[in-house]
Amino acid sequence: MPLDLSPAKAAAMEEVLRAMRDSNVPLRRPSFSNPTFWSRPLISTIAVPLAADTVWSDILTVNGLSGYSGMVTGYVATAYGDTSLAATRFRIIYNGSHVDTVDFVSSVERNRESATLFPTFPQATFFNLLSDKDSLTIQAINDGTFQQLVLCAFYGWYYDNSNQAERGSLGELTDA
Amino acid sequence: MPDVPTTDRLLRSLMQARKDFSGRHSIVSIDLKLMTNRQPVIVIQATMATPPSGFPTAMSLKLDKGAPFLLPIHWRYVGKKGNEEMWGGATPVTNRLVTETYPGASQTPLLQSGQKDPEAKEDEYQLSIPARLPQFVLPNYWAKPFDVEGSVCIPFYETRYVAYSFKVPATSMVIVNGISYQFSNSITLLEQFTIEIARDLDSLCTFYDLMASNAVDPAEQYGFAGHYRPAPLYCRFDHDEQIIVRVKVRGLYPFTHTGADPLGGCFTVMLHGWMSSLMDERDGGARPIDMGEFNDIALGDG
Repeated sequence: MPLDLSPAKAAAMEEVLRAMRDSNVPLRRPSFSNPTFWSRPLISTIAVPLAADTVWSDILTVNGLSGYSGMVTGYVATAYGDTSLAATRFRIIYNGSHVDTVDFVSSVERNRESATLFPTFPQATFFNLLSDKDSLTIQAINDGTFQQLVLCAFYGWYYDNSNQAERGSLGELTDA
Repeated sequence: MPDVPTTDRLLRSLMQARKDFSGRHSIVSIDLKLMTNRQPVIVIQATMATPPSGFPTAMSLKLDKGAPFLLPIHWRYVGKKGNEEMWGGATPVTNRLVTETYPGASQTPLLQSGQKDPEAKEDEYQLSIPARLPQFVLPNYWAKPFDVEGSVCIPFYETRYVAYSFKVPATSMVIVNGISYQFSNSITLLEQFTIEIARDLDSLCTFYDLMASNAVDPAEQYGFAGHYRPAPLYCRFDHDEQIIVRVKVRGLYPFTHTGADPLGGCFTVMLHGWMSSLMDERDGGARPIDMGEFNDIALGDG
């Protein structure tokens, strides 16, 4: 339907549009899409030797922060040596459970441009640590013979979120 | 403070000047302007380079009390018309007709005998509003890039040194979204260090890194950050807050050094981000200084 407005209504519409155009309405993305004013950085890194073993070891754990939710948007999980030869495998544990939707293909390098080139860079991911009781862990296992140095990192931000809907559900866009 | 004429008095002077001078001495326009020091002035634009001899340089305005106010008259030579001035040396352009083209036969809809040509759909009405995101999300119009560097000498292991410190100006806000660093030749392969970023007394984050490579390029020597790929992070520093970056070299894992072990050399840190101006009201940002009691709501505090 074409808009069929009287001149008076059209003028009112113009005025509304003008007000919206010139107004100073802060639009904000949800706290789990972008950091907010009160956000704090989440950056945790480690470089630690990993002995050959038959069990998985916790390498790096990031916990929620009291009063905040944590948004993890990037990770690094790589071996210092040539990953295709290092025989190390990684996996991600969320609140004690293996996250099987994140499949680290062993011997595939995802955090460096070549086996010897540094620095590492994060791959994008999406984990929301909804409260300070939640935790995210990178585990690794060394299937080889020799000790390996592994480099792991989490990147993201903590957001101060007193918004109950946002804290409890990822599906709600409550403050966009 | 000397008496100044009212706005009405100035406008009457402008009308007087227009009455007196318009159409004479190749004058193009006569306007009332404010100079940067707020001094009012009559600006006369003319195609003659200099005013004729005896042309007044000021108007004397009588005030209710005190000495008369001298309203200066500035003669401004405008030369040729603006377009000629700007484009005089350009290649002349001749207008030409644009030939319209039509889709090929394959794109023409097949019509049944007697069927009318299809008509375009009705106009769609769309509402388009520019969204202004807060300046802690994106730099605002008046923002400047914030790419700064700080250096410090590091005489000992296991000792925190302030490598960079900066107090954000009262009218600005800084977002740091990347960090990279390098050492002089002081640390050796696989030695580790911690980087700490603090806002005033509040330590925002501390993370480890190591000298991962003996590459010649210092941008490729460290495990988690390099100048080509700064480590991503998000740190907001509001006006009057202090940005502090500290470094502590720990050495090889497991860390056995103490603060008495000499190290030497220097450390350089580079921060990347932007510095927004808090003086602009039209950026959609919410700032403590202008949001009043709604501050926390607008800042996303729920």
